[in-house]
Amino acid sequence: MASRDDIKFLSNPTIGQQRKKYCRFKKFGIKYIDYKDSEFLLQFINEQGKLLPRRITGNSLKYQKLVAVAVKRSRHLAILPYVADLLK
Amino acid sequence: MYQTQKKGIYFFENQSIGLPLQPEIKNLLFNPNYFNKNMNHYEVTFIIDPVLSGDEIKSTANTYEALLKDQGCSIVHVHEIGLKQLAYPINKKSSGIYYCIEFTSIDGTIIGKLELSLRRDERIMRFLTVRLDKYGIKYNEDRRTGKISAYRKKEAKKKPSDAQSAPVARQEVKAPAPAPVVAAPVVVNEEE
Repeated sequence: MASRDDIKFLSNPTIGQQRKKYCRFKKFGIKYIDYKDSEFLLQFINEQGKLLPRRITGNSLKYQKLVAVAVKRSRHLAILPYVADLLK
Repeated sequence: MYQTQKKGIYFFENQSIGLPLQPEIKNLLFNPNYFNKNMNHYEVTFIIDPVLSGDEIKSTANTYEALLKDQGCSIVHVHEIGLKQLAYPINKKSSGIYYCIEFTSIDGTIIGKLELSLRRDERIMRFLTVRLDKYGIKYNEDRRTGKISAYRKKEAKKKPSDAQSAPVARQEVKAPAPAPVVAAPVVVNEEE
C-alpha cells in the first residue's frame, strides 16, 4: 500500500490552500485601539482611505467595530484622510 | 465555601429584597475597588494653529489645563504630540500642533464647558474628547512608561531583516536564471 509519503503530487498541494485568517486583536491580546496611531490604523484601510472589510482583515466583529470607531475619530482629527488617492 | 457563598447571594437576591439584583448594583456591592474607580478618565485631543508663536501655543495649552484644574479635575498627563502634517487642509492650513490632555473627573459636566471654550477659541482648529475605558487607561499608562512601542519595534526589526534577506534573494534569482538560457537552444535543436 502506498503511504502518504509515497504519493507524488504533480503540483504542490499546498499552493491552492489559503492560510486561515485570524483576528489579530484576539490573537495578540490587543484591547485598545488608539485613534492617534496612524501607522497602526493604516493596516485597516485601503488606498482610498476606506475601511477594509472583515473578510479581508479577518477581524472579529467586536474589534472591527472598534477599528471603525478609531478610524472615524482619527479622520476627524486629520490624522487619517476622509478621501485619498494612493494613500499607501 | 464556594457553595455557601453562592447560596448567600441567592438568598440575598431572592428573599430579602424580593427582586433579582441589577448587574450594575451587584458590581457596586461586590467590587471592593468600586469607589476608587468612580472617577471617569477622559482624553481631549486638540489641534492648535501652527501660525502662532511657541509661547502662544504653550499658553493656549496651559489655559485648558488651568480650566480643567479649576473645575476640580485632576490632570493625569499632558501629551505634547507636536507639529504634524494634517491629512487634509483645515482652515487652509496643512499642518497643526497636536496636544492631548488626559484627565479624571467625577462626572461629565465639565466636558460641556470645556468643549464650549474650545469651540469659541480661534486658536483651536479641531478637538475631540473621548472617555477612556479601562483598556484605554492601561494603554496610556503603558505608553507613558514606554511599554508600548512594540509596533515600532517590529518595524525596526523588519528593516534589517529585509536588508539581510534581500541579497540572499537576489543570489537565488541569479542562480536559476542562466539555466533556461542553456536549456532553450537544446529544445530548439530537438525540434529542428
